[in-house]
Amino acid sequence: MSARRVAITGVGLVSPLGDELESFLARLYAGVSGVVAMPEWAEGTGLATRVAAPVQGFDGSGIPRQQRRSMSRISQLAVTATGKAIRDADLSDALVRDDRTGIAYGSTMGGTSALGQYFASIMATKTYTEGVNSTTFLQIMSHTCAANLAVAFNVQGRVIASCVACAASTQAIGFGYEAIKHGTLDRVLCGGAEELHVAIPGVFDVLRATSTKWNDRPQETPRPFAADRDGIVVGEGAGTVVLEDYAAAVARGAKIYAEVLGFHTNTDSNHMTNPSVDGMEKVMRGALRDAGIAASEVDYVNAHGTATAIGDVAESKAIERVVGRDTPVSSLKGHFGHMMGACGVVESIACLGMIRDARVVPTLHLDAVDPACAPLAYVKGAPRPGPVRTVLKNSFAFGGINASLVLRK
Amino acid sequence: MDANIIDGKVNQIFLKLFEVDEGQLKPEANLYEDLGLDSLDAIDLVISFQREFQIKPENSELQAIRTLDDVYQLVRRYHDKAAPTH
Repeated sequence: MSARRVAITGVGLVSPLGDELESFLARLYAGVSGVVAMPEWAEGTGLATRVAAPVQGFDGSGIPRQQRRSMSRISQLAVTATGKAIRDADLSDALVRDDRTGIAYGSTMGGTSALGQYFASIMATKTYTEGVNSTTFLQIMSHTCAANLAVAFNVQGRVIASCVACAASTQAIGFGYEAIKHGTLDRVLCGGAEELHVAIPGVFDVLRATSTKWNDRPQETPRPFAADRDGIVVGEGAGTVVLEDYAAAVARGAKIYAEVLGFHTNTDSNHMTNPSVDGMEKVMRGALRDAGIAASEVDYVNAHGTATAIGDVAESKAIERVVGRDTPVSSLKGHFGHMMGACGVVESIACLGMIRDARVVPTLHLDAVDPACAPLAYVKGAPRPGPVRTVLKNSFAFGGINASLVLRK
Repeated sequence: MDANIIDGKVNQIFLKLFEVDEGQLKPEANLYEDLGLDSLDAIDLVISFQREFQIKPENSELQAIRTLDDVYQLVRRYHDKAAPTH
């Protein structure tokens, strides 16, 4: 079978900027921040960051009990986003349940709150089974989102759990794309999720990677690529895109947001946390090669851009090597923080909006670019109008995991 | 423990843990066919016996449970056994 084209036909998200695509995009263009103060984090000691980007007012109680009992918040977010994506794609129950429909879904952790409750019970009671029930493991396990999605929507094809932290959902889209491209599956529900738990900023805090200087002004951080950036702000949420064989999508009259034109993922292997400019360059070049396009065809780079000291510098240098200094670049983490396992897919959904609307969302809070970053065409201030036909989207994770997608109108 | 108190506590387990409607709480209700429990719920029911009533029934006793009334009777039996004799 020759390689098939892959269409994105549905999107769904639950984010710090809302759970409806149009209002989410409007908030991005308007420069709205989803970051808030977390005064409850002052109840314990040691944590320097007091800001986060939570999903406000989420209620998963509408999920049927026998599905919900195996879901920590992360899986409830994932199921909610995926239900929206399936409806948006107008996929029939028969197509969702078809054995050529699969799932590719990732996260950084499993159900962190469920794991936290279990350990809290051990600490309090010194009994290893006191805090456990029949579904504790199902909430905690690393592939909890993917497995819960399969049961919730009765998906019977292959399930890929791409649990590679901050690159999880970009890999998930890529693996779904490859499965369709090579004829293994016809449709894949792709994405990722993360739930906010104090353990995550805790570990980033120890690594001196969190934003700590803006605790009294949460709406002004994180600041990707800015000279005064001081680290990440942890967020949460979920996003799902429906990928389909392009010809089949056209045949059923589906709305097509864009095509996944290329994907690549690689590993730095030089260090668990230090980014590699070479590795980042290679993954972007690999995605362009897979797409069969030249770097000059890229209209916009959606950066990982987390606002860490070394990550932004490394990514900017890698972007310069691949597309030069004139291609518009922005990061969306200033708007909704770092959604970890969900960031790649939620940022990709934002890119679909930018493609449709022919304008680029600027990096929020980017006043003065760090002179240590490469001199790129950073989009800052107001949205930048202009054709956005081809997007290069990056995600990078601890462990030296890199992933890039090419999306095209 | 008074039988009515036991039955009330059992009912609370079904209302809170298994989210059944109050109207479904009839002694003859079958746990699986009428109240919609499954194998994982059965495990959680046993765990709730231990936590709520500090009882640990034998597997053969658990396997014999079919209805809500079977649950009431099982817990009552254990409490009768544990009741102090004067």
